[in-house]
Amino acid sequence: MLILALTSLILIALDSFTPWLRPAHAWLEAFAQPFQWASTLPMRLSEWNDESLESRAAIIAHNDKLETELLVYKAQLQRMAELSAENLQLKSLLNGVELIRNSVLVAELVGISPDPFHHVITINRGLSDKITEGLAVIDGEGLMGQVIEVFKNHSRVLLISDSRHALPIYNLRNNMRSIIEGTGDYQRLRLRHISPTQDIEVGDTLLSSGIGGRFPSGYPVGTVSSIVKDPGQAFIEVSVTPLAKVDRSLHLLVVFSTVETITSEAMDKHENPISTPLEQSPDTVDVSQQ
Amino acid sequence: MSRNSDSLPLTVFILSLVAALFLYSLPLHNDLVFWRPPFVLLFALYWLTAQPQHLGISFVWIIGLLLDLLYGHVIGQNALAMSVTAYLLRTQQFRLAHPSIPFQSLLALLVVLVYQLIWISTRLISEDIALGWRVFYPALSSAILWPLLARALPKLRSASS
Repeated sequence: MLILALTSLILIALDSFTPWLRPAHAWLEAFAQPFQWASTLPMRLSEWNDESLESRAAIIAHNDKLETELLVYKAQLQRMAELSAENLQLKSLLNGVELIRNSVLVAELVGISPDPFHHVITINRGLSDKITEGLAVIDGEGLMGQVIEVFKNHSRVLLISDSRHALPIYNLRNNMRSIIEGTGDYQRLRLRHISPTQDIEVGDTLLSSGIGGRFPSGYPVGTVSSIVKDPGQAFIEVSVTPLAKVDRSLHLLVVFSTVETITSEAMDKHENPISTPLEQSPDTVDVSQQ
Repeated sequence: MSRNSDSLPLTVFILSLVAALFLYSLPLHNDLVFWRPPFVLLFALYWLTAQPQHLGISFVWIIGLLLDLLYGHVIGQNALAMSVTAYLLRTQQFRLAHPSIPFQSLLALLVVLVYQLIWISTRLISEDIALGWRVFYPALSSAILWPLLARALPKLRSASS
């Protein structure tokens, strides 16, 4: 008994403070996959249910709705082409030489950590898809989290709602900067150290600011849901609802940011971002920003 | 908990291990995640008390290590917590020769309480987790679910043999 207890204590110390046991984690990751996959079963079932058990009329209606949405987005993207070209020209006038290009890779959720204290998910992209630690992960609505551990074909993503996670953001309305933290609750994030005199209102949209260099800037993170002002406290309590469906999205996007120097070539490329050729693999899509 | 079978019923054993691992990772509603009983611990302790002639503390330790490795916890956390819990249970074994089901439930409550205490304290070495009364919710839910498990597992065993 003593030997077992000692061995486990040594293992805990080794795994907590040194990287020596990483290979064991990576090797066993493959065996954990069936169980990880099982943990997404209810979500898969409901998706299958939505896809397969709908009536013809409902599918047609859904299709119509999607087509309309696509049209709206395409129209917006046309404006975006013009705006980004204009933005690029202005930037080059201002001697800004760096341009951030974001491309995204479609990934699928394959596992959820059963640990209630941590919000960690597993996605089906890993080293073989050039995933590296620290890449941002988004869904259709907003920022979801960041990659913390990469295996051969899988990687683990820490969600923004985890109590260990924090990221720099700014307020879309007045550019006020702050840091947003997870609370361990999927539906609530919080802002720390906001003084009562600062201008923040319920309904404000918060975007990632890109300060710190970990996350790309400009991705929506959440909207302010409640503000509690306690006269006895030095700071106010601001609760934020994440925009991403942190606990529900099955299909995610991994964002690759690359910094490019503005050249005439890059300018040409940006004249028309809609027809940018696809890079890497068929499901990699270019999204130009700035 | 009968103790008179001669050999370890391997099929049921492996099936129940896989079932415990699945139950452990099955997603729950957001309000319920903190109530998930430590199914793998309950499974290991059931087999430890049902088959003391085949299985010892090292068996529980190995199951704990497996759990840590499979779910990416820090290696050794569950191994330590589960084996210490099993050891404590085993020291009291002769006092608990044939406990009734309600008494077993109470025992499950205490055992899971001890397990959670050790597990959470080892996690606090290297991780930052938000503590609260929810740490002890699994003990309550285990006590509630134990009668079900205690009836289902022997039935599985007799059905297979």
